[in-house]
Amino acid sequence: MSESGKHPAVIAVLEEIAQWKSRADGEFTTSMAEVDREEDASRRAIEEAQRQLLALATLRAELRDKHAQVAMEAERRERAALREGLSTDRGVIEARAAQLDVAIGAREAELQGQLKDPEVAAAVEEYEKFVEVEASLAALPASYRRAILDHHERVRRRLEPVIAASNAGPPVLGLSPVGVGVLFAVDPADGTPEALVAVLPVPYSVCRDWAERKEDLASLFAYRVVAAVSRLLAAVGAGSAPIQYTELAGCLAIQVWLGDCEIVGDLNERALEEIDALREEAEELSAAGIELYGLWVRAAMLADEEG
Amino acid sequence: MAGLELFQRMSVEQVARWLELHPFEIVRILVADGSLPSDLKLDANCVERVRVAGGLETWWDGPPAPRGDEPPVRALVRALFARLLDRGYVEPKLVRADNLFRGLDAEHQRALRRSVNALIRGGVLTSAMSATGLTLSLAAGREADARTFADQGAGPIDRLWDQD
Repeated sequence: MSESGKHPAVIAVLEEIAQWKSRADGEFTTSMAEVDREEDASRRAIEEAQRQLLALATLRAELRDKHAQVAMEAERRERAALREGLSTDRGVIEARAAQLDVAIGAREAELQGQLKDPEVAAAVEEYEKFVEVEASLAALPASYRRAILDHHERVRRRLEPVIAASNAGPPVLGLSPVGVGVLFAVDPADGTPEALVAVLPVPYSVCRDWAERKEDLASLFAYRVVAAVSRLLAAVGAGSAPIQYTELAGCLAIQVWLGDCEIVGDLNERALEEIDALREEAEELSAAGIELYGLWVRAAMLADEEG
Repeated sequence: MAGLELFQRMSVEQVARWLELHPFEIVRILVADGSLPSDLKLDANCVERVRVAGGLETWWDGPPAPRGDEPPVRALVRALFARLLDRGYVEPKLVRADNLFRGLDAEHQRALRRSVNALIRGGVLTSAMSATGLTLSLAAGREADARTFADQGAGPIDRLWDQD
């Protein structure tokens, strides 16, 4: 008890403590409310970030899908472009074959006209008779045989311009040059090749129907590529590799099984060298204004589209 | 009067018709022989090169006459075995596959091809690829069977030649 009759001093202390505690409680409540708000805000931010991550993951998957479709579409377009190119080149060769045939026909008609000249006709008749009996000349006495051969030589000289013109190279069409391509591919693309294919821009009928169709520029083109492939195979140690001729997009394809051969050297480079040599050699292609190129493509680009 | 062909060298197609060979085979044989002319025009010498380098032979001047009521194809296959044996085409000696058919008409060629395929499957004939085309031979050890069939139309080969 206080001496003044006032409340004991301890009460004041306790009141102070109570006030202090009340303030502390108030501060605590305020602070906790602040923490709760901050926590809520952070949680919302995390949820938003998670939503964004999810959206980004979805976008990534969509982009990947789209990109895969782009790659597939690029392959589809590439495959279509190669086939379109083959078809266009085949059209060029067929058109120029027809033009070359007309030019050859005109030249032969002119030569046939020369054969009607009475002097030339008489010489041709003698030439023909000699050809008929040539095989039996050996049975004749030497002096008689010599006289016949001398006479034939005179006839041959008289006909030399006609003979030379008959065997002259193809007439030059004088058309602007057009490039056409032979497509090459090996399977598998990496490692040891098991199969080689060359696709020519000529109709498959050149191979299948050769006995029914007239030999033309497309036929000669095919002979030259068959020769080039044969030389290529011999050069890389695959001379006995089995060859098949098949149809691809209406064109002639030369397929070679290399699985049983050990390839020596660079198949790709050698193939292009053979095409270069072919281009130099093929008079009829030059005459028709055809410039030949070799082009390596992925084997998948020559396969039929799935589905 | 003769035309220009009297003076012209032959095309690959003309030689192919003459030799009963696909034009691509003519080209391959001449490439392997190193004698393909750069202008693709062939003279008599080239034709002979094809014949020799390609090992071309003509085995038939028509289908053989069947014995009694023997099926014509069976007579053909018997005659084929006789020719293979007479020419010694026993493994490892190889003959061009198309030699087996040259000289026959299309119908008999088709029939004989079917039998030859059956005999390859049956192991009586063996096949191999060469730079100048498909080659065949009588499998080693089958000479006696081949002779029996060729002479008497009997033996194991009689069960194989018409197997599809």
